[in-house]
Amino acid sequence: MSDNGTDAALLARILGKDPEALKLMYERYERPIYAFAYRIVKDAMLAEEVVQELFLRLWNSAERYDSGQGMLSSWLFTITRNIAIDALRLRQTRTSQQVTEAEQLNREPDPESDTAGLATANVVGEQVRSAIRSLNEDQQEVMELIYFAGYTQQEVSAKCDIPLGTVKSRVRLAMKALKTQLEDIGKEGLSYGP
Amino acid sequence: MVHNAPECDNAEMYALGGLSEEESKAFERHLAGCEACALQVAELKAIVDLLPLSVEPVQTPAGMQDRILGHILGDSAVSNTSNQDADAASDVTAKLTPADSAADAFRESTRASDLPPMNEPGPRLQADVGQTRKSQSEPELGREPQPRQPLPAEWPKAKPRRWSVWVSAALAAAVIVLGIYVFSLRDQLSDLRGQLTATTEPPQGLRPNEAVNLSAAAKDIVANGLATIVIDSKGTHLLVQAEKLPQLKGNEAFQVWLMKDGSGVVNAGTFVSRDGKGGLYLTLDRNLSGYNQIAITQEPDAFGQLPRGTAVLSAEISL
Repeated sequence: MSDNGTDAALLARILGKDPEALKLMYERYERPIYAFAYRIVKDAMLAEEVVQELFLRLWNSAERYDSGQGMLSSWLFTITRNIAIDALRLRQTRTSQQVTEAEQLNREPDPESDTAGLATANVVGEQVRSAIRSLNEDQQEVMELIYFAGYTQQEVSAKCDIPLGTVKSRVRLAMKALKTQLEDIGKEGLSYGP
Repeated sequence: MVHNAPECDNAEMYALGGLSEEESKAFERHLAGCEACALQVAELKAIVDLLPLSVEPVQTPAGMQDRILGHILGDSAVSNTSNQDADAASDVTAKLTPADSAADAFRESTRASDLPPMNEPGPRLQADVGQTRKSQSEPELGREPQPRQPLPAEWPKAKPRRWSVWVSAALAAAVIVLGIYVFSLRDQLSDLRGQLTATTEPPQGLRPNEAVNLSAAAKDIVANGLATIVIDSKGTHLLVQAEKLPQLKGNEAFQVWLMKDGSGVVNAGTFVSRDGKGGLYLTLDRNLSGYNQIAITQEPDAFGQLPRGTAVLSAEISL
């Protein structure tokens, strides 16, 4: 494939307000972004609104992306998380079901969804899932509450009735364990593009 | 700055996104002067960036691409394909199932009430969000309010004094228009309240057109349920409750169907169970005369338009 289809090339075309480039970028990231948004908000309609907000921001403010800060996919996921957690807080639909199921981190992937385009991502995804599964339950719980449910460390401390220091140490140990297992992938990064 | 300062302990929490807004800002100030922390955060962020990949794939809603791209490009004055996309989106809307219509109606009602919609960057998603949220120096995109109408290239310069008179007059007119608009909104609100009162009045002597026990569709299923159907001027109201439902896995959901001699199938919504119990309420604004069966299936996800999973409960009805 020519360079015309890389993330950077598409982004440049989006900056030039090329609708076709936005469409291509959307098609490339729709599924992983939607799945990530759905994982956080657990509501199909709200997840769609999150995806819409992300691509609207991309369309209007693509110049905010700084390639020096990391890969485009990471940037999109980061913004998606911000939008999703803000939306979750705004809608105030939190239920215990949405935030206490640490075992959600262990759910198996849907094998039917393993299409060729996302196969690489799924292979890496399984490595990440495996790394998460290796954490103990307490560590998985704080990771779930902070990263996927958007709670701050103080909120986790209050919610789980554990000292703030314990929350910090669990996160520290969890991150250390993940880093040990995933460092090589993290360095390489992941691209959905050609 | 010396590494091992108290702030250095926050590197992992910062990278994961667990600091409050104030803590995040404080840590970012620390980062600016602590090279060791900056390096550590960069490494940790590379790991955190992998976490979205742990998410299992889910099916995207039907027509989402057309709706989203139609909306974005349709709002853009630059796009020359916006009309095509908007048309595509409206085509999709025309084909919506009852469940999707409900979703669409929700969006319409949101617009109608002039709440700041999610697609307008600014107020709805950011302003009211808990003040404790972090605001890391991670890439922020389009955070400032972006009006739909393009702003003028430059603000009017306040030079000739006579212009100020016109500006004042224009402002006064704008205030009046706004006043009328607000009044109109109040009027609409009053109407809506009236309608709400009407719809929330307790029904008197409500008589269901149909109330049937749902029985297990297979031998090894112990679930049972009740379907109550009321038809009035507003449509067909369906209330389904079930218990002892099979355990759902992953993204699975239960889906309710109305069927007509095994041919016509209407999606009557999806629900997930809690402790084996669940149900839904739905109003269908279409003629369902002749439909003679209701069924609940266990589906791989909540977005199917046709039954794909296994039947759990069913019953004969007569609409």
